[in-house]
Amino acid sequence: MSGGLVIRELEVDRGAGPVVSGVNLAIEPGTITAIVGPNGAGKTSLLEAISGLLTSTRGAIEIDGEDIVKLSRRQRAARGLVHVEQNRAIFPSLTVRENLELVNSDISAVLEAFPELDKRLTSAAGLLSGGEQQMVVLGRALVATPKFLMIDEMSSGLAPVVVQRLLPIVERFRDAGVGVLLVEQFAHLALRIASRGIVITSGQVTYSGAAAALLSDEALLHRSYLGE
Amino acid sequence: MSRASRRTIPRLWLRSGIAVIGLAVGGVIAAVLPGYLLYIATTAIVASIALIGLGVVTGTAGMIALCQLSFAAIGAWVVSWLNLIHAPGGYIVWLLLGCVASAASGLLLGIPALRLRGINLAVITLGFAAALDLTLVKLQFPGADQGTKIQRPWPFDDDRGFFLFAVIALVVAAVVVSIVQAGRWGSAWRSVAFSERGTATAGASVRFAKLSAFAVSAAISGLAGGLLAGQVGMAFPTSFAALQSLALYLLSIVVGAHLIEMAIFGGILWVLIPEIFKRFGISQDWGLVLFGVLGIQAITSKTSPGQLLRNAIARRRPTPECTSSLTDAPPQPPDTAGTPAVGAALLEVSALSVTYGELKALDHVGFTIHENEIVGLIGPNGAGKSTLVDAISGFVPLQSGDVRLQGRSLRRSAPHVRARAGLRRTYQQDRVPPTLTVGAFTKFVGGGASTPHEIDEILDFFGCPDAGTPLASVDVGRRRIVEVAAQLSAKPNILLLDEPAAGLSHEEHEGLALRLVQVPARFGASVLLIEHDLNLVRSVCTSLLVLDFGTLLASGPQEQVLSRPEVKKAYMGETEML
Repeated sequence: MSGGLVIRELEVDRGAGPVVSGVNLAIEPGTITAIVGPNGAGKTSLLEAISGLLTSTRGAIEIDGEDIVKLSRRQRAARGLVHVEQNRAIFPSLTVRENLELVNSDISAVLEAFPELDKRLTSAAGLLSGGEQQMVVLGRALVATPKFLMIDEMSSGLAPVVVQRLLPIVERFRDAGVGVLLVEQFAHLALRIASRGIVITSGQVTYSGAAAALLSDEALLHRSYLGE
Repeated sequence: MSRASRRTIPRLWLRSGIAVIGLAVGGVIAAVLPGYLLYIATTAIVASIALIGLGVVTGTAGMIALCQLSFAAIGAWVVSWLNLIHAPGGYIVWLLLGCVASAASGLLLGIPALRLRGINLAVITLGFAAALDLTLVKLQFPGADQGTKIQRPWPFDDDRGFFLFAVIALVVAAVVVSIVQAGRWGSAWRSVAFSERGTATAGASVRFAKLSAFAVSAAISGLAGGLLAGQVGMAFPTSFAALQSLALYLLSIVVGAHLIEMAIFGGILWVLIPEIFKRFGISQDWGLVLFGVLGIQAITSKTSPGQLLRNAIARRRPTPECTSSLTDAPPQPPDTAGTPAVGAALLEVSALSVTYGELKALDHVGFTIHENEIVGLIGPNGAGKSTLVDAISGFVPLQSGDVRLQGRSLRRSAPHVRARAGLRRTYQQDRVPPTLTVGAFTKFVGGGASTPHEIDEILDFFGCPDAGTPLASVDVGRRRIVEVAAQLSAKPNILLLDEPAAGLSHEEHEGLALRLVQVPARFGASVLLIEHDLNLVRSVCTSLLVLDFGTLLASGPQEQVLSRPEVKKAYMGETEML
């Protein structure tokens, strides 16, 4: 296979034993994959290893056939891999506009997705509320023209009305050929727009298949969560 | 035996055992080592004591102090002076007085640390070290010009005896510091290193935590200085030069001196490296260069051999089994009453306004929360929800308005005073210090309000990890729940929760809801809950407040508020999610 983000037998060890082990994944362009699983299962560590925030101890990560394991975070980003982190990494002393324009001078897509930010463009991003900061972080990913987009906890801290607006935007990315990887505590939310669902428990994939199957079969979801 | 107390009793034995072994080893070394080596060994012990002191302020409390040997110089100065004037009490009393004087100067120097941190604090402390350095060179130590030797105490008056005396001083300092580190002060130091706001929220004074760290650290350095004067017989300014303090600081980073065994290891390196250089005919000053290089390495890699060693041990130890989880069915509510009736007014917020520059974050917000009530606070992102919690708990100044708890105005009270008065909160961001265990954090936040047995019950109730689990290994979502449990263990009147369920799975949301409903009956606390998950809000809150653009858009019983069209439009959108 030529296109896509492919992960083979990935292992991550944060210093106290592996938190991710033997994970195989293939993210094809133009699809949405949802990773769900209980707390502490290793979902965030997996994303961090893919984007290069964490060093993987074993396995391969390939973008369009090229192994990127040895590449730095910046080099991986240059290959179109965008990671929206869980901890809202913004520049608190820069204004919202500056935060966004660091990525792309055309920020109209952000304002379309989050009209709330229009009034805040000249405020220092550090003065924003938690939910608004989440909008800035997501907004940066929107204008980064990613090839592969990984979002950790997209709905975290956002008002329901905002989450609703966000889902079609993610789908628009998919339609434009971006491979999207969502990590979401609200399994149902992510599975609803994903084609493929992955359940991770104790660092290992316990289910990989159609998202619709997980969504419609409550028992299957539960079994996968328990790692059976 | 209870979960929280399980570890404390063996730790007491462990401490005594290690202390006895330490004394025995010291005795053997004193008996067998030849004179010169014994002299060097005494220096290593003195350096170890200074490093233990440094570990308190830099390693545990996370503040930069580049003047550790200046505090030692003050200890040495006091001992030399008392010796010169033949003060009553003898060397041991002089030594203790030296510690007191050092602690006092530590307190004074701690005052700028209340406002400064990072590079600014480094400049201040290094400046102090340089100033004291120059002063000592001008002033000289008392008795230095006449060559007055310091009178050592009997029976430690020969070099062998004095080595043993230094070993005893080291053991005492190590035991005292290890007890203090494990107690409330130590938790406050670790907490202040991670988050000052989090510390105040635990009802601990940030000012006290910082000053006590400086004072304890300086007192121990004063002990080291007094010992050095006794060892050499006379104190010299060169032993306490600013550059030496800098090197000692780097060494403390290299070894990780907040761990006592590593401080002792550092003390050995402090004499061993220059000694090895001397053997090969290289200038001893290169030792300082080596410490500098190692320090750069340690700072850039953000770890120390001590911590690596502890991690390796932790890895071999099996991770504690989690006995309970939020997704388990919660214990039944106490059978005294189902849901207690809503009582008298507890928290009264009136005409509260907050501005950030030109931005009006809150505009004349007023509401009342009663006893045994669970109130939800919802609103669009940026409506001012977190600002409201910050204003009530004392972290942002009010432009106008008042906050009253049980009729008493808290307007002018500091955050930690409000926390002690029974107004507790949790944070949207992670403010739980990863250097503490679940049990130590809960004990610290609870401030002694709950017995170990009650703490166990609370942790169990919320499905928290075992008390011995380091918070560093708990994921962010569950850390928030540990924070909720810890704040409840303080037996507050009211608990303000800022998105406690963020980072939890859907199932855990439901588990949390089942537990939060029981909070008034079980813990006697009212709750103000900020949350975006409307299912959680619906199943927990009896009444709701809706904020929009800093003003109260609606308030009242839950169903009424949620059915209002303006609330739907501002917050929920046309169809409902989740």
